[in-house]
Amino acid sequence: MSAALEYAGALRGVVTRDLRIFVSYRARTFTQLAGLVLTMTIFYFVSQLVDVQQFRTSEEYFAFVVAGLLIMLILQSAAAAPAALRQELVAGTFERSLVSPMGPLVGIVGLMLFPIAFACLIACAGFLIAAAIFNLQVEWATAPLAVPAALLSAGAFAAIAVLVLAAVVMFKQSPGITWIVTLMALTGGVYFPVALLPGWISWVSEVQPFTPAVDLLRQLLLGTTAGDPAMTALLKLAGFFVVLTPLSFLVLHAAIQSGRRRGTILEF
Amino acid sequence: MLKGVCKRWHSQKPPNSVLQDVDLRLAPGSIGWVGGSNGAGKTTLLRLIAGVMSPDAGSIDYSGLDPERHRRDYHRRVGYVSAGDRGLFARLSVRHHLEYCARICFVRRAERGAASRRSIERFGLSELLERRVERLSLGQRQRVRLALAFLHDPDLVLLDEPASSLDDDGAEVLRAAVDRIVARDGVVVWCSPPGERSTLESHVEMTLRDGTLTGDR
Repeated sequence: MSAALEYAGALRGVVTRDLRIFVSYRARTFTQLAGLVLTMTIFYFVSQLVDVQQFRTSEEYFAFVVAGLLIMLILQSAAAAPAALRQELVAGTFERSLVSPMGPLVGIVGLMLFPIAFACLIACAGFLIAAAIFNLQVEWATAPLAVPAALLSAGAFAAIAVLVLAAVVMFKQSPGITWIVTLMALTGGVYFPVALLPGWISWVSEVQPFTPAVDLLRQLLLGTTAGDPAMTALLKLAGFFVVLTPLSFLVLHAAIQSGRRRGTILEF
Repeated sequence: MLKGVCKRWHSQKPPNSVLQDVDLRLAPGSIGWVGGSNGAGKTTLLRLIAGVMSPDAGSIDYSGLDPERHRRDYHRRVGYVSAGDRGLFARLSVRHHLEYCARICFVRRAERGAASRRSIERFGLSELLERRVERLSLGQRQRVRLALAFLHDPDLVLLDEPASSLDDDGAEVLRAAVDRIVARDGVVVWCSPPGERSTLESHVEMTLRDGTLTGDR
C-alpha cells in the first residue's frame, strides 16, 4: 500500500471519528440549519427596508447577503479548528496522533476536514431553502460551478486556519481567530459591498481571500456583476491558496518541531 | 535504544535538567522496568522513546529507526500507553475507537477486522464494544487504552504506570499482552513508582534518580 493511500485512510479515519462525535449530539444538524434559516429570515425582513443605489431592489440585497452568509459558514468552520485542537490537547487525545504513523501534522489538518465538508453541505442546503422559501433567484446554469469554487475558497480559508493552529501548538491559544474572522467578514463584503468601506481600511479587502471568494460565488450562484469579474476573482483566490497553503504547512511543521524540542507539545 | 540522552525544561527558570546522559539498551525479547520517585523523569523518558519529544542531546533509535527521521516506520512499531486515563474520545464507542486507531496506525484494510477482533478478545472488551467511553469505569477505560496501544501489533511497547485502575483480571490481561510481545522478540519498557513494581515481571530493573538511570542494565 502506498504512503498516499495510508494517509488517505488515516484522514478518512479522522473524518469518520468527527462525524460520529457530531452525530452523537442528535439535535446539532437541526439546530445549525434552523439557526441559518432564522438568520436568513431576519435579513429577509431587513432587506425590505433597504433602498440604496447599490441595489436596485430589496430582493437584490437579500440575495447579496444570503450568499455572504453561506460563504461565511465555510469560513467559520475552518476557523473552528483551533478550538478543536485545544479540546484535543485538554482531553489528551492529540497524543494519539502524535504517537501514530499518521503523525501530528496530518492529524491537525484532518481536524478541519469534517467541519468544512459539513459547512459546505449546510451552505448548499441553506441555498436551496433560500430559493424555496424566500424566492432567491438562482443562476442555475452556473450554480454547479460554485461547488469547486467553494472548495477552493475553503482551501484558502483553511490555510489561514492552519497558521492559527500553529499558534495553538506554540502558545496553547488561538490568538485573535474571532477577530480575524470578523475583520474578514467586515472587509470581505458579507453584509454590504466593499465599495462602501472608507479608504483607510478598504485595502484590507484586497489582501484576504474572503473578498474574491464572495465575489466569485455570488457571480456563479446569483449572476451578480458587482466586484471583480469571475476570472479575476478566481485567479486571486487561487493565488491566495497557492501561496498560503505551503507557507501555513511549513509554519505548522516548525511549530510541531519546536513543541517537541521544548517538550511542550502536549501541554495545554 | 538510548545513547547519551539529555533533556532539560527550558521553560523553567533556571532550566531544569530532567535526564542527563542516559543510556539504555534492551535485548530483543526483554522487559525493562524503570522506577523512580514522583517527578524523577520516568514519563519524560518514555515520551522521548515514543517520539513525543526530542532530546536536547544524544540519540534514540529502535532497530535502526530514528523517531524523527523515520517517524512513520518508527511509529508503526511503537505502542504507547501514557499515564492517567486521558486520550480517549468521550463520545466515541469502544468499537469506534478501535476502528479509528486501526486507520491512524496504518493497519492494512484486510487486517483491520482481525486486529480489532484480536484486541477485543485479548483485552476482554466484547461486553463494552458499543458503549461510549465516557460511560466506562476507570479500569475499563484503562483496558481500552491498552487495547489501542497493542492493536497494531507493535514490537516496542512503552507503558507508563499501565496497571493503574486495573483489577486482578485486568492485570492478568496486561501480563498476557506483554508476554506475547516478549515471545515475538519485542521489547517492553514500563515505568511505575517502586511500590507497583510487582505488576509485571522484568528482565532489567533500573531507577531514575537525579536525572541518571542506574541499576541492572
